[in-house]
Amino acid sequence: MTQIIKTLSILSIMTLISCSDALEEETFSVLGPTNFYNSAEDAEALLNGVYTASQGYRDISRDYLTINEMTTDILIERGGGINANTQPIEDFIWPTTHPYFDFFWGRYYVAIYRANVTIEQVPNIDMDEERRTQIVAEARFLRAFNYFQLYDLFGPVPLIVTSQTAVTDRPFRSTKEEMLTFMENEFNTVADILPATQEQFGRVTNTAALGFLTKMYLNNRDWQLAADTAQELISLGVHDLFTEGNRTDLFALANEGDNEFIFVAPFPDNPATGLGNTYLSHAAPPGYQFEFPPKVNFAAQFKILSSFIDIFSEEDERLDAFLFEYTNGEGNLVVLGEDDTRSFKYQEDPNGIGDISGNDWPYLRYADILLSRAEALNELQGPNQESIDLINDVRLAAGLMAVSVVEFPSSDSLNDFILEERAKEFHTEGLRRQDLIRHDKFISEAISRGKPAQDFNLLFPIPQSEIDKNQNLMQNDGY
Amino acid sequence: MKAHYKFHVLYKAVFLDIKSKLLAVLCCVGCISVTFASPTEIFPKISQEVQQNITGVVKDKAGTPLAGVNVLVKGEMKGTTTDFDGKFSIAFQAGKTLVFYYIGFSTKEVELTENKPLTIVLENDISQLDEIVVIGYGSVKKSDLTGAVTSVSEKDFPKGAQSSLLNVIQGKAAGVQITQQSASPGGGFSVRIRGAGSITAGNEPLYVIDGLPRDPSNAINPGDIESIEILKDASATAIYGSRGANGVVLITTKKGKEGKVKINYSTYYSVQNVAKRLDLLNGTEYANFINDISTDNNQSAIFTQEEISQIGEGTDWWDQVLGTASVINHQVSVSGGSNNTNYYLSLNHFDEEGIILNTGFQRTMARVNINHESKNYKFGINLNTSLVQDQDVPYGDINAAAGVITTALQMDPTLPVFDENGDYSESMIIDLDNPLAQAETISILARTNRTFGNAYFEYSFLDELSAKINLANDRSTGRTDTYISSVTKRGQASNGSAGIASSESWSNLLEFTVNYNDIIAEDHSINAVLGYSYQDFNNRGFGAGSSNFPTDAFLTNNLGAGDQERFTVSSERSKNQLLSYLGRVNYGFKDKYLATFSFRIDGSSRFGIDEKYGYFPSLALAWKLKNESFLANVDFISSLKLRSSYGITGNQEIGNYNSLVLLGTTGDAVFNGQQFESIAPSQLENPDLKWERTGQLNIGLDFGFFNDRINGSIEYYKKKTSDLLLALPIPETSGFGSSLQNIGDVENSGLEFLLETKNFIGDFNWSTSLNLSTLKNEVTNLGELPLILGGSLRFLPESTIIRVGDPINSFYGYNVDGIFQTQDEVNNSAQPDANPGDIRYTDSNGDGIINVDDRVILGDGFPDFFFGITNTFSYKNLSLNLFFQGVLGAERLNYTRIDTENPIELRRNRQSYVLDRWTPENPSTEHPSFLTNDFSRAINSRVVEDGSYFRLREITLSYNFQHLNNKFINDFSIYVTGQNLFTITDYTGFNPDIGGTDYNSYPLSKIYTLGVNINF
Repeated sequence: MTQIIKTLSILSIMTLISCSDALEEETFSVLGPTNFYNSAEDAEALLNGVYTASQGYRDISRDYLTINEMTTDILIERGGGINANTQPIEDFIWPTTHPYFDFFWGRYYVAIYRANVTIEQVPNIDMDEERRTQIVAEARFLRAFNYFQLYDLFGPVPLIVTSQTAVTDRPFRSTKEEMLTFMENEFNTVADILPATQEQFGRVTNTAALGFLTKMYLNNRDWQLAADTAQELISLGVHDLFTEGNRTDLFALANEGDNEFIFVAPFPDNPATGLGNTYLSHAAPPGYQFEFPPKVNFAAQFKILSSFIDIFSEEDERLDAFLFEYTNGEGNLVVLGEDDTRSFKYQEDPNGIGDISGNDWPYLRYADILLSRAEALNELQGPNQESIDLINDVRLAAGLMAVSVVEFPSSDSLNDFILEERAKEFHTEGLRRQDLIRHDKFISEAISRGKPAQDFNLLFPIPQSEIDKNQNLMQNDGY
Repeated sequence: MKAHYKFHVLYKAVFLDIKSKLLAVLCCVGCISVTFASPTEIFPKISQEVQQNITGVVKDKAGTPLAGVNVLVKGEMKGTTTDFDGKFSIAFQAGKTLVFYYIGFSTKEVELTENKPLTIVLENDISQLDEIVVIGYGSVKKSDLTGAVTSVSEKDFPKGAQSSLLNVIQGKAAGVQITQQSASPGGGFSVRIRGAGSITAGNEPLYVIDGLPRDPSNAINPGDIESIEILKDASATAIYGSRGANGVVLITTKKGKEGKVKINYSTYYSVQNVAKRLDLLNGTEYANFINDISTDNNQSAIFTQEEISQIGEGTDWWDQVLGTASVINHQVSVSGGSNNTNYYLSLNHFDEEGIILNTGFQRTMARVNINHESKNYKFGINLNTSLVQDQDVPYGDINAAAGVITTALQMDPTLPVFDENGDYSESMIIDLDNPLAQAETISILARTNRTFGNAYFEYSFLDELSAKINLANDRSTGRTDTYISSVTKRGQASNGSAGIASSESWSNLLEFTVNYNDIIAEDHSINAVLGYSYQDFNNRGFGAGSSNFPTDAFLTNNLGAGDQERFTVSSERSKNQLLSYLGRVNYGFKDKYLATFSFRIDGSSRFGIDEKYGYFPSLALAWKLKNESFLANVDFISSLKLRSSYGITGNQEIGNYNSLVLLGTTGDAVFNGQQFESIAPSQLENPDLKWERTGQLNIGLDFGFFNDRINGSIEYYKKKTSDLLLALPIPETSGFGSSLQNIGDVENSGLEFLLETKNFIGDFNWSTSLNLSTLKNEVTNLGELPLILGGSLRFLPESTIIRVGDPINSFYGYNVDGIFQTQDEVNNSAQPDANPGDIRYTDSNGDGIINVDDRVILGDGFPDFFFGITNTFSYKNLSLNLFFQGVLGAERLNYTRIDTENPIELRRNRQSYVLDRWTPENPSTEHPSFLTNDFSRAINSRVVEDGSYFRLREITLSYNFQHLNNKFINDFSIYVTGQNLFTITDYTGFNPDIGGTDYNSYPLSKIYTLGVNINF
């Protein structure tokens, strides 16, 4: 019996060793909330996370152009496995399950979540007060910018302004007014806090806030506010048009950071570490010989419709952004035929490696602000000299002749002219869908291209997977 | 008496029937035997002497006559069996020896001296009936087993080339489904014991090697294994609590036996070739086909007639990368022991070349098992150390990332292997690498050093009571070197890139158990075990990469020579722990009624702060019907036991830190063209995260008839897994796409049937082992979610669905309803934009258009029915073993075929069935015109195929040379084996024996082996 007692006592000793401390989870390569949110460095790292989610990623051009130009008169895609995703977009038969919708939706809400974390956590960090205020303002801009993008694709969406989210949250969609008021307030507020220029190119400025506010008013046909906000931006005198060479050289790598750019998704000077833009690998035709090999040429082919090229006049410098013919690997000259022209707006990056390049993706340029004010003023007053001057600024930069106000008998005729100028100026930058919608031509032009487009196609559907997960979320009409 | 008579008749009838059916088989075996044995041995001359018969009776120790005992004349094919009264009559030949064989009894030999009636008493063969079966934390006699346990011992292992222990149990155990996603040398397996209960958490079983719960993977030599026990029901697995839900595989390695030193050397050499190739277009066919597609699409032809006339066969890219490969295995073991110490030492070297150029797997290892036992204590050590090398080529699927298999299937056959300068040629048109260039210039070499083992000390305080400490450790360090030379397209992009990834893992186990074993008042037997266990698991990794090298000569040996701006570096570390209390009581009453109660309390670091502990009880009851008086006289039943169990087991295979809020690095922000690291929360916290629980009911019947000449078992099980650890898709408005939650239920149920028969006993033996299993898998609850889509591959976002009422990850796509033949058919269809020759899809919701809502379930990867059949024939020293295996009712998504149906580029090569495409002149109803790609409907019933198959997995012919009068060699055997010699299947891919989705999988090979086994 004593033996049994001995045994049991040994067992109980063993048991004592095993307090619940033994089951504590020790982290090594990741941080827990207790050892973060403390220093100025933590605050910057948090803000960087908002930038990362809001700005560049490798397929940004592919995704933006698919959504915003393949639905228009500019772009088509042939070949490659991605045709499974691009063809239904071009054909206006996108399903609610299309992966790009879910991709955009998820990406924007990740950025919004991180912005909310930054906005809530950074004020509690003991650090330089001015920088702290600015960090919060940068995060607030980025949050509003992501809502701007969501609103453009999907209409009013759930407005989440706290980082205290839970698995069980089933938010409702906000109203159009709530959405617009929120963005208006946010852009206006941060415009007062943010500086007009930042030491580091890529950071948000107050002109970016005013710029997106302009675009928000414009797209919402708030002409007076659009014109006024554009003027406020112009008056700051921070930005001007790129006129130091051929208009297409604005997109040369050497001119990245030119003050015509108001807000971009910046890519690194040295994309070899893996962060870069894959545009050119989609646009290069088969057997194209790159100047700085080795570069990857995808099976997928982004092609410009010939009817779009036809709107350019011969002396337009911006025609230089297109590839019409090339010498292939076997030394033969290949002339790209009908609907097979390529947009080489983003010039080849010598440091680019494989399929990625350091070319920045422009979200907003000064030329857009000028043409936006021109358009808003025309809507308010009809053809007017200031609108013509603003348009001529852009035309002259592109090596074209100035136009005169007498050429435009009506507000509509000038409006159409502005729309065409915008097409030539902003192709391959993903603005065409927005512009056509604003000019009430998105659906009618699609129908004239033979697509089964209907009014409800002005908005994309809320991703089906999101509807499946949240019964409070109402799908857009028609889907 | 009447009943007895009926059984008697039935018994005779059964055997006569079996005998007559056997005759044909016998003839075949006989023919094979002729080459080895002289004809007289097989067909002995009939004695010319006048025959006199000797008679006798065979009884057991209790005096009960034994029916069906084989009575044979030693050295001859002559024999008889005893009748129902145990009586026999056979020709008397003085000087000859009669041999009495009876299953469950010791064989007895009697030399005939005079013709007097014989009375033979056969002794029960204890070792056969009371085979010991290893269970968790102990072992029991097979007859006392209350749970569902399948035991596969060394004698059942197939003999061909086997790199893994999973090779040797594949098809051998009912309810255990083993598939190999890639047949590459050393390729991994997927093991599903009684289906799959988890969606997000792991479905692989727990492995326990000599008491150490760790997956040995490739680091164990199948030749060192004595037996493998597969624990299936909750009664057997609940003792492993939180890790028991997917079943447990117990591996017991060999021990030395008392006696003189035994030295064994075994070796085999195998040659392997690809078992099946896909029929691709050759150069001329390809050029014509591409031209036809182009011209039919109103585009100009790509190849001129002159070019085509010069192409001929073109390049067969498979010929470039496939070859005949060898496998060599050597094993030396030394074992033996004194009356209180035994030892087993072994060395093994296994070297397999893959059938694809520059792939291979090598293992060099050693094992030491030493045990010592004295009156009061036992101790011992088991140690296994190995070096495993795995050499691979790239295996990717898409475009620039496509590996050797993909490119060999899709590369333009009109492209020569080398260009005019003798360099690897490169396609200017297709975004793919030269397959041969990849195989020859991209090297991926993984080396893993691993040592695991345990040491134990057991002390007996009393006869009934002992305590044991078991300490175990498993540590491995691995390093993978990858070099992509600048010769290939993917290497050009980086101008040569090198990567080194090193990993280190270690696990410590401390276990303390107390064992109590007693028989109280004769009728009550008790065996109890109580214990405590602590195990931790640690991982650490480090990786570095470099590219843009001045030369390819350095490989991975000089990372610093690359471009400093392109250096990459990473490291990580993680740890988790398990702390457990366990116990089990086996109680037996009168050797008729058995009960087993077991429990385990498991604490895991992986769960929420207040949810770390889980409780896993089980109860099993068994009734040995044969030991009841009402069956005592039913002689044809030799054993009969009814078992039933219910218990709860758990699953914690979810990775670490899932319940916590974590902040991690999330990519770089870019300012002024420079990159800046960011940090953000990477998951939502879930303090309520807890165990996934599986409740399992098992009902089993073990039976043995005719002195166990026929024995087996039938099992029914139903497993319900609830509180599923599910990466629950959550509204992305939360900032996260999913969160690990305990949501959902899955059910698996099935029948398992095992039958082992000794059809013939004597000089000629024939035994059969058959196992059959059915399986039904069903998701029964997904919370508020209607469905979860998954299976994204090759730009196609989804190919599988999880929804209530269907099996996990069922294939989800469009049903093909035929080929449009006329414009009229098109006009009257739901696809008005189609052309004649296009695929017609089923408008399954009848809304007049074909869209994503028309997708339906096209099948699932779970088999309805799977089986293995082993037949062993032996005549004296010659034996023939045939092992068939099959699966019915499992579908496979043949993703490889999508690259033929809907290629990424027109200029990719395709399988040659496209030649039979629809054209106005060839109105095919089977294949479309292939003029249009329809990527968005690429997942359809043309690529979800029936994966049923029947395969001769292994056939072995061996000859034993026994009791050699040689000074050194005791006995040796020589054998030839063929593996995968034929497969009957409708599946059009390489191999149906893969789990679920088949995308450019490594092809299966046919393997021919010659082996020798020598005992010194």
